[in-house]
Amino acid sequence: MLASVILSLINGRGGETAAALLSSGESAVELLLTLLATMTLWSGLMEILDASGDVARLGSLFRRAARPLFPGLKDERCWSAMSLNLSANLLGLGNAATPAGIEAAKLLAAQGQTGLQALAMLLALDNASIQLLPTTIITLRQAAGALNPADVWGMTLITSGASSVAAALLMMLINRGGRRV
Amino acid sequence: MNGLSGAAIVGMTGFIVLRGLMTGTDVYGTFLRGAKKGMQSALELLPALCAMLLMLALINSSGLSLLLSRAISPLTQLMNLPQEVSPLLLLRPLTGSGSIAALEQVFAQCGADSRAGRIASVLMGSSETIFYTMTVYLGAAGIRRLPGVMAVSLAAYLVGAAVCGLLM
Repeated sequence: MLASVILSLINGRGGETAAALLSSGESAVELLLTLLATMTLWSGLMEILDASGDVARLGSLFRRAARPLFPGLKDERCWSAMSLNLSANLLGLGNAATPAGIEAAKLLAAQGQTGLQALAMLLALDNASIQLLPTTIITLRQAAGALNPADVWGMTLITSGASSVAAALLMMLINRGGRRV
Repeated sequence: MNGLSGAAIVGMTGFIVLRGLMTGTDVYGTFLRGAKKGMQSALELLPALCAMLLMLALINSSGLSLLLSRAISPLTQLMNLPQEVSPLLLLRPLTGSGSIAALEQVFAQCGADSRAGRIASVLMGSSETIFYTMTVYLGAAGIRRLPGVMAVSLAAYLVGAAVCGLLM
């Protein structure tokens, strides 16, 4: 930030910078209105999905699929926190995902080497972030006047799928290497 | 909004409400509870959003963003990403509100339906604030560092970005 202040004075662009600076607060409020609308609406809907028990059901489905990614992990509480974290992330339920992730991180850290490797895998998967319905992006696109705001959906799934697969494979390689040492 | 994705959004909403009714959930009360949580987390974004838009305004009008985009241009060219997406590509792993601001900037510059606007949307929707997530979870677990995760996450992020650029 300081660097840009100095650079703008050197380049003699103080006037333009001042104008941009003053209008940025206004655009923040405009942007917030859009975010407020979408986050309120979808958090409400997702809370229903959570309360109906479907998030937990998705979690148990994930558990069966993800066994090979977390070799040697037996602890029941770890598995339930992890699957809640990943399924909440999948649904874009940030409010539910973070506490579950923190719980999982604490439990896994207490499990020694196996736990740490599992935590590394969990974080790598979380960071690759597959989200079934990118509601915020769709709403932001709608607000920006896109003709068909949801038309990036398919590509978003492909992209996050690709990065999740890449993350899982790379992490598996690293964890394998770590076990041999 | 039209087509398959429009129908899917409507279908998803219907499915959620239907599941709520089927399992005997208090649909209205639960909606209000969740909506309130969402509203609060959105409102809490305002100060950071304000700071990030200010920072982006400074970076852009001072010419710093041009310098940075040029610095990473070998990478973006390799991944076939338009130059307007560079600020977003740099900010996305660091800050959530900053990347929303950068996405808005792409929309304002090129339009939401332009190639840059569409790529920026996909990039934003398919990635996570890596550094933030790491800080929160590792901090909670009391671990200083977990080898490999950062490198793997950033590599996977770049794989995603390359998929965007090369397929769109």
